[in-house]
Amino acid sequence: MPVYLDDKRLVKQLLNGDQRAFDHFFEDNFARLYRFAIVRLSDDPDGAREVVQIVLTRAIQKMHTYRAESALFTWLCAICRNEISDWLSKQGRYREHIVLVEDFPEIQSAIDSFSAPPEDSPERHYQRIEATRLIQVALDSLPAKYGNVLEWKYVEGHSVKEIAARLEIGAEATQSLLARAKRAFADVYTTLTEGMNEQADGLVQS
Amino acid sequence: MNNLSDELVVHGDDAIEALLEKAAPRPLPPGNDEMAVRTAVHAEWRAVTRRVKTRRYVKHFAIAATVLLGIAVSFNALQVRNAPGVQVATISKSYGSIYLLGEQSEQQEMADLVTISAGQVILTGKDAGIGIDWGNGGSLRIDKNTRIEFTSPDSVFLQSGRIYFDSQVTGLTAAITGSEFVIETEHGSVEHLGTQYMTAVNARDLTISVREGQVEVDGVYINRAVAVAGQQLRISGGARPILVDFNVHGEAWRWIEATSPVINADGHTVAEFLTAIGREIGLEVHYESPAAEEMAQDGVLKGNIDIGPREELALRMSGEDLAYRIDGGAIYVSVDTGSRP
Repeated sequence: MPVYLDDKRLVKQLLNGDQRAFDHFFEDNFARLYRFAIVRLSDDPDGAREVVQIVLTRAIQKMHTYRAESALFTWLCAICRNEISDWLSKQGRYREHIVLVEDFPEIQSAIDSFSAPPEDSPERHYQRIEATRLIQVALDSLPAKYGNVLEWKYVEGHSVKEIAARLEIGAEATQSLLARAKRAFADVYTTLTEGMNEQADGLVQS
Repeated sequence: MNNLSDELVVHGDDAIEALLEKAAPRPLPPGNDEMAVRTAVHAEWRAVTRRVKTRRYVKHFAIAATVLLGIAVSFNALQVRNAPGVQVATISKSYGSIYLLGEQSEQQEMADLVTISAGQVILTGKDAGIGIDWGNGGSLRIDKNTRIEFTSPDSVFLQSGRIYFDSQVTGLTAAITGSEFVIETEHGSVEHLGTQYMTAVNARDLTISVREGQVEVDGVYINRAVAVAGQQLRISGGARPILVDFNVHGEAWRWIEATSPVINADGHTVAEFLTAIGREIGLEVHYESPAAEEMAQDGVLKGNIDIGPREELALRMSGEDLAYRIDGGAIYVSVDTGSRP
């Protein structure tokens, strides 16, 4: 079983009362968890804020039980799924009503739309939005640093020099970080799309 | 293109970059929300770290005190291995192989272990059991093949195996409903309110069986779940807790009787003794006639006996003009018309 040493170290620092560790923990996870929650709560920002606050508070209370056998963000997502389920139950809403982009088999055609000529049909527009969200899901699934550098470089268009300055590291280290982040992104994205292909195949066969 | 992942493989970096360039920035939560959540979570974090520091302070203080004690003991040519911290409990009964886990994770057999201190980890062998008088009140039993860390005067960390906690030490004293005792596990925290309950942990599940009172579980992945007397609660990862009816007596509970504490029967009536025994083995007491109940209330017992609860029941009742039988979930007590003239 893998041990996530960086996350384990961060949790230890958190339990030791290290303020920088808290900042790191919050900044790495808040926005990602918020996005994780909001798509599962029908884009309800108040619900997402409340659920994420509950999740992070619960995680802080239970931090001593984290064994680093999964990534810290994966652990937070597991807590978040249950909080969302409880939240929806309390609101009289049900999980089945929430359609998640990464759980949706038909997303494959939306991914294909990237290489298709642009059209103005509502269906094509929806597919492009969903495909964009899938990329965002993949970015959020990466370690926070990887997701951030990829977004800064390729989505927001910052230069390597600018990113290096932002991270307070050298240009070569930034290039190396980008290369590793791209490989990790390819792995995650491929896993996501393969999973959806299998799901779609299963639906066709059944 | 049928599958974008194929393109990622074929074209490598260029495909990834092209894909990312087509994406929009990930949406950010509203700034006010971030500030509000950060403030709330930060406050909780400060509270948690304060508690951790307090525990560490107590532990370090205890270790320092222990070092001094160790020096004093060594002057007396005694050997104390694995110097203990704050004493949290006393072993009242034990049998089989008991091991104390050392700092280097080495196991030391502790046949003569009498007291347990904060910070110690104890393992029981396949033929072992321990009965413990908890320092803050209550009786803790540890089953075979169990690994447990005594983390503080009010908590343990059950790593694996099975334990039983009774907040009322002997059944003849008042229940300690105010005492704090928390069983931490990898699946969540188990707290009680004046009760008897059994907690079992393995890699997949946390199972709590409640004989009396109420137990709350604050799971790592779930919100609070509650079980009351006659219920069993099972938690497996992030799945919904399963709550089922569960007998408060029977084979599942028999192991705790091997380490039952001595019942302080001296000077108490037969009726009080029967209630205590019934509580210890999970049975109700029913009198089959008003005369039997009256005799039990009038009879006063002398002395204490260090044997198992069922053996003590048989022994004590043989000296009274009362007969008993165990049937289902009850002890039925009647006037013994046959044994005496």
